Amino acid sequence: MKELSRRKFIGGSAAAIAAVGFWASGSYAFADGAKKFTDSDPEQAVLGEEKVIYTSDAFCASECGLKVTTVDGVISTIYGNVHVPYNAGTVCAKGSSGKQVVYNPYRLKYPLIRTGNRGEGKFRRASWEEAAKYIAERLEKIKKNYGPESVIMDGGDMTDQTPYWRLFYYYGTPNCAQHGAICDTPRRLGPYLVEGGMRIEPDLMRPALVRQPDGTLKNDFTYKNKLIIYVGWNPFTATRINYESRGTVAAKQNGAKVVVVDPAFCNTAVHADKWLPIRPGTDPDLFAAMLRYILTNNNSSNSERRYIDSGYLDYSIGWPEFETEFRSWWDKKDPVNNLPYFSLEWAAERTGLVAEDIAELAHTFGITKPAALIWGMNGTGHHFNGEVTSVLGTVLNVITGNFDVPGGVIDTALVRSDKGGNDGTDYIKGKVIERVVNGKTITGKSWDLQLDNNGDWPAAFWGALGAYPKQFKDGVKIAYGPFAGYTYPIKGFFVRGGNPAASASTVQRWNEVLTAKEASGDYKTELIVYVDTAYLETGLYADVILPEASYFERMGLSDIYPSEPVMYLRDMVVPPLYEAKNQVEIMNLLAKALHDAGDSDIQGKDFWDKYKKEEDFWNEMLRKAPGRNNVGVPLPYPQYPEGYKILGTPDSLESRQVTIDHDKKVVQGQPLTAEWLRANKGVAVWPMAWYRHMAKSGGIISTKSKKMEFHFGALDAVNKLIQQSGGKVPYMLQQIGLSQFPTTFFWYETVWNPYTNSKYANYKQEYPFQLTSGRIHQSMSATQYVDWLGRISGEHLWMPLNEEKIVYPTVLNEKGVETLSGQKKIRAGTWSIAVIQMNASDARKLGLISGDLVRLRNPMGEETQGRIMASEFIRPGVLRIPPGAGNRFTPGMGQTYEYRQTTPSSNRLLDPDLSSAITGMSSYNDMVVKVLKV
Amino acid sequence: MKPSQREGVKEIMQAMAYKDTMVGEELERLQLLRELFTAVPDEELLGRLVKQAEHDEAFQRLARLAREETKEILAAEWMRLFEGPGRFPVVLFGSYYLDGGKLMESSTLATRQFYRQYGMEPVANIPADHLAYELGFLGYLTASADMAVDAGGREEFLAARSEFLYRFMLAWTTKMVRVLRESTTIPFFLELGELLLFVIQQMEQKSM
Repeated sequence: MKELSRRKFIGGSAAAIAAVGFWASGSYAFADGAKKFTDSDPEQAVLGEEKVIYTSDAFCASECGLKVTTVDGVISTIYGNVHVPYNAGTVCAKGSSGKQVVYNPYRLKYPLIRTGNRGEGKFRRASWEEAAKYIAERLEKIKKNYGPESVIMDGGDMTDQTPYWRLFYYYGTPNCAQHGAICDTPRRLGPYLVEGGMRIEPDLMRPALVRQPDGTLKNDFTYKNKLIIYVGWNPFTATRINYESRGTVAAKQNGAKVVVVDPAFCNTAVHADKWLPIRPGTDPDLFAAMLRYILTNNNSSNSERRYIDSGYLDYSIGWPEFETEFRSWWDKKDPVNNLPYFSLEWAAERTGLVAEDIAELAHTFGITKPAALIWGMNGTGHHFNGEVTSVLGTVLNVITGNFDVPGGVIDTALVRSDKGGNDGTDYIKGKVIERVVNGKTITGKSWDLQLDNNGDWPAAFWGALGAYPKQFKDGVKIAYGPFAGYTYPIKGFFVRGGNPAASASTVQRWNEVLTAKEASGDYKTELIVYVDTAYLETGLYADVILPEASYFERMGLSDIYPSEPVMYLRDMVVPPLYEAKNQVEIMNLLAKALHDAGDSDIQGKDFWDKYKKEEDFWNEMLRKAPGRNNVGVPLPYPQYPEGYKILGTPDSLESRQVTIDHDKKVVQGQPLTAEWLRANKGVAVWPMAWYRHMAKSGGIISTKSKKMEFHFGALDAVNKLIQQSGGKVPYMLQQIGLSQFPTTFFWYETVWNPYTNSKYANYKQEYPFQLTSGRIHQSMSATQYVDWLGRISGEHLWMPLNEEKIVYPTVLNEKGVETLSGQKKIRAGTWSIAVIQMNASDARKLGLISGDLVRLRNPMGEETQGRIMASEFIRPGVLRIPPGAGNRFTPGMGQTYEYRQTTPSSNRLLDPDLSSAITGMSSYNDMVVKVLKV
Repeated sequence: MKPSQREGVKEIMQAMAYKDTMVGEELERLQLLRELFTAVPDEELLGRLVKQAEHDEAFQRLARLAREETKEILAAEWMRLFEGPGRFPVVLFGSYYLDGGKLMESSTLATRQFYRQYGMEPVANIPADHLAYELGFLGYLTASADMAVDAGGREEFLAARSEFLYRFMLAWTTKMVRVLRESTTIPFFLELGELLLFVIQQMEQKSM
């Protein structure tokens, strides 16, 4: 560096200021300009400084713990945080590509206001103030004309949507949704009904922090698993549960057997001892046959037949009722094959598996302890009948004694740390409102206007986002609760981190409803706001786009699906680039704009005065951590009373810096804070235990009865609500022939499956392929805007089968849009694209080879186009497409956008009118198609 | 753009009485170019372009071409070319061209290091090699050379300017303008690219 002294070269101080002034002045985009150093400027001292920040990923909802190094304020390296047991130092390609998210030239940089028609993608730059005022004024207009419930807030597919929910609950709408609604709710239904939980995972998270006999805490790295059965679950490619891929390998090395049941020879099957290529949509058939086999052949006095561990009868209710109902089907014959339900022959006929294999699987699962039966998010949760699968799967794990035992299964939702409390749910549930229904003024709670639970989906415990185009189109008709008979339209849609226009099961309908106009020419949905870092398809329809700070530029909390309470911090690694803002800032800014526009529901004490800093918001949530009871073996805290709720930092709990409230049964240590997490490698880990469901003093079971319920109290309550409101049967229950929600074992067939549902049998010949989706971790809705991830191939679903392409720049001039001569060639075979995986023998029969372009057509006449990947790794008669990955029509997707015409969207071919009967989940995996060569 | 935010520049120019000097003209050119590459040109900026053209021949064609387009077309094309949203064709950050399509890479850091040698640090949250910053830095070096208390200081700043142009700006702006030429048919934007190259190439020659 040259030894330049400013004083030497620049004259008097006025001139020096002038020279600096030139640099610093300019338009608002550069309003902050620059500053000059002085020799004593502290920033001089940190030049070149290397800093380590512990944070967590949010490029996908796996949220792995990360250790990020910055040099001189610029992100330098990204590694996994070895202190977070969830990923224990590992990180995937997507996680390590975060630099290309933050420093992506095409990310959203400034607030934008639409200048063209919705869908055209024409915008102008706006200031935050102008954008916030625009949004607030329209929200107030909607509130005045139709009520706040006419606005839907969709928090999208990241878990830190809490500030947005808070804003919209206080605004007054009960309609806050999130991605969980279209992720895998059928998969969660069984755990939800039986134990009040959500996600059953194998006990594979290591290390586990375990209390030792001498009272110390030690990291335990041992794997106790003996058998893991993955059904439609592919942790090596598709999952968000990081520890399952490395854990499965480790458990296998330790002697565990692994069985994979999947129509595709997926990457997990590669590691398995056995692969069973099941027909899509028949997972409950397999589970029902396993359960029948186990109930029939169980013999407690024969160690070779001792399948059932009857201990579950002590901590459950309703088993006799469930078993009786299940057995009552055994004598009935299935009209499809004239075989008795749930028999081995019946299951073999339907699943396409061999009866002996099914018997062996049931027997092996029954006698091997500990074992884990795991069913998938994508494979089973995306079938219409995934609800049946998850109930049977839960039952199988519980009655065989594998629930919450070492090496068995753990319902991670029941043991994770608490981080709830400030999203405004309590506020909206308690808010008293009046509405005029059929000429009468009715008083109720805002929550009673919630569009799902009081409308078409009274039992949807996670919302029914996939069915929303219907509500946009026809309005909401409240059928249950005090406001039964009330109707309201949907007039506002605020979507953050979600992309229904490309990833919903009804993409055509989303386009239709978001662009629908009144006779006057005005859009029916009066306000659409899109908030994200990437510019995805839904952004094309927005009136206002707000640039959100990327996950390295904001804070948040992570506690994803661990086996023990773990809480780790998403910390700001670098300050937001351009004019992006974090979600707390956006919440406060919009809250202030609403207040200024005259909204008296929004006050400073609940927003900008309460959360002066971003950190204030997250610290408030951390006060609830870990919030779990002191139960299980070994007891997490033998120094404290068993069954008491534990709160506070791990070190304060260890050193007994606590107060104990014996009335409330709470042990309160020092509250956890972001500052504490920063000082402790970004993570708090509390002790692991097993057998936590058995504690008499208040275990982890979260049903109303605090016992495992084989008689479903949750659905009993919904039936009661329906009866009290006049008894209108929800339309999807009618479709499957039920007059009320089932309260014990139930069975119904999946849709669009000619092999198991006689209603669709006549499609078998003309539409010979079952269409399913296969999730590839690095090619999801938003990921390909990082070009690097677009190049990585995966599992015969995402392959470098691109055609050569000259990218023609298109320009706008006085004549309109004009296409110019070529400037860039993308060579064939250099770029991975979404493809259609087809069995090689099927391809031969149709005269197709890999790379051939085909059209897929469904019985409704809908089509999509894509290239064939002829593969031995898929069951004949089945086609697999990565969900939401093809036909990407936003230029925000980078090079993937160039291949929108030759990549398939399976989402276009689904039946938008059929969502799972109880949970309201879109049926992503149920369709039949024919293949037409292009 | 708010007029008040431009006041600083105006005042500086007046205080330094640069208006009629050669350095003053260079600074005015840089400032105008910088703003044209920062945001959609509004009426106030286009008015200043017309004024600049009155005494600066190099800007006459651009001013004339601006008049030939409607304000809406200029705005829409500016957004399409430089800002998006989405995959817009012309990226205005140096490292995009110097580091294989990525931002905040080694060339960005080298640019920032160069600024720092002269006591400058961009603090707006935009990578340091945005064209507008680099033009601003050129202006800073130009003004600093002019105000240096002795000939040695002046030479040092001019040499720095030359080095900055050679090592950083010319290396990528020529590529950027090539992309711009292929990405638009609107004469105003084609001319804007040529004018940028003309102005900085002229400065490079002067620095030699």
